[in-house]
Amino acid sequence: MTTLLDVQGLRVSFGPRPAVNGVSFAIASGETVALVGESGSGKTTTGYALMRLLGDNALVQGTAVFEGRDLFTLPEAEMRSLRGRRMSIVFQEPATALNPVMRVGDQIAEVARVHGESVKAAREMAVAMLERTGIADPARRARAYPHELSGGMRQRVMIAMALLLKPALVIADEPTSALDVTVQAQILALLGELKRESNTAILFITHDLGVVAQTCSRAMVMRAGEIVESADVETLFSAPSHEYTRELLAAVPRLSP
Amino acid sequence: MIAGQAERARRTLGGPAVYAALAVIALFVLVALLAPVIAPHDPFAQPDAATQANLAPSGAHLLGTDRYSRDVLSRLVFGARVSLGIAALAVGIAMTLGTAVGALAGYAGGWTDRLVTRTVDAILSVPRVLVLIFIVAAFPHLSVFGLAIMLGLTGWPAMAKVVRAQVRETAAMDYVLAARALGVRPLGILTRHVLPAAVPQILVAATLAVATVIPLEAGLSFLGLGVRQPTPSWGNMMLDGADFGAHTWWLLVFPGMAIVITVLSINVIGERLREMVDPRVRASR
Repeated sequence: MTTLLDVQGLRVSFGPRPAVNGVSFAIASGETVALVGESGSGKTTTGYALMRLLGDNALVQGTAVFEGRDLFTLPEAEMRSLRGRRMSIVFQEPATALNPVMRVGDQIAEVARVHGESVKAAREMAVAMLERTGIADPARRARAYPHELSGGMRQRVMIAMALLLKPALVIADEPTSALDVTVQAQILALLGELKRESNTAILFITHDLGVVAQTCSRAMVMRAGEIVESADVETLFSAPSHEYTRELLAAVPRLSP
Repeated sequence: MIAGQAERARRTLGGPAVYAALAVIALFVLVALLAPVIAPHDPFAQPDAATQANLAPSGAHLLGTDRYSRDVLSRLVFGARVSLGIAALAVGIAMTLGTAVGALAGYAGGWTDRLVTRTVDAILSVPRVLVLIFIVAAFPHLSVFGLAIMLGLTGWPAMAKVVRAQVRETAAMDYVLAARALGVRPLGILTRHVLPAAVPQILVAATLAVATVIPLEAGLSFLGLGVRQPTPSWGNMMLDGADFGAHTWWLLVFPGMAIVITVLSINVIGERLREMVDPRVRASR
């Protein structure tokens, strides 16, 4: 397996106290890695930092070598050409991450458009991708506005946008947290299926250990801006080495005692 | 129950007034467009200044004649063309400039935004009439077209303020971040994701701007600084009647009514549009 992304000493601060404090990890091509932690642990900030989506008020330090180039020193134009094409992100809340006044088909097609496809080709790609996400009657759904779709369908649209150009890396930021449990399972299955088809690596940002067990091969536990434990999922669940990981595991509600 | 009744009451209160206003504006625009067909006389013709000047309304001249014996109704009809045309062009210019500047400031943020905001506030602190009087003093032979452009060039800061506020709000939306995360260029984000959300506010501001520009032009023309004789505008027609006051009431009342009815109608439409657009007003319904 080849290393796709190698992050070394990532630090992000918005003020005197760093939100991410010296995080290092690597992701191989096609791998699914979880970044687990409670709210405010810095996991989402890590994901945004990698996509260079943080505002001017964020100070980002360290290196993140992606396909041989350091993301943090790339000119903005080159970064833009990577976004959506080689690396993309699925947001937590599809209800707000989709433009309410734009047809979903056009939003999906826009990804292909901005990376050089013709209007016609982009539109066809969008409909084909919608079909692959399991949406019935995709040509008609492509003309729908986000408010006309259910939460699950909206997240399928987001996934269609993120995976349209078969990126090497998808950062999935709590992609199922806003959804019903049954829909969650479908969305996770879809993500898994699409990533296998295009050999996409996924950095799965979540607080849900159930999701981690279901989807990831390896997990990194983050707390207060630092990765406190990193292990393959079986080891993490059977023999957590860090006290915080044990606490997280103990916090998972169970039906039987 | 109560909420439903209130809703109905509001609707019936808002309804007829808005429809009447829309009908008035549609009528005036139609009159302006069809002026040559509608006007009973040549608005510039002075048949006989000695015997036919300052005639009160009669069958021959429905709204009377002015001091040069010109037909007031015909001048009023052609005046609609001038006054509404100036307003449309001026607001078009102000809207275009204001949208461009406001979008740039709101989207770029940082020092660009601060610079633009301070400049706009500084411009807005100077009375617009004063600026226009200076401009007219500097260019005494300003044409009607030039006057419209000047009204537009002094109108953009108010529009820029509205657009900037809306753009800033929209730019903070998740879907704008999502568009960036998918590689959309700043210009694409601005034109496809940010500005469309500001269109309703821009339309409201433009409508209300028309209601500001019409009296402004009328005022300047009444002072003899706007549209010059012999071209008729509602403002300079009133100037014609000012000398004789109540003796030639038709020279004051009819153009005055045209101005008042137009501005009132546009304000009714504008306020109604604002209610439809503003979530705070909508939420309280």
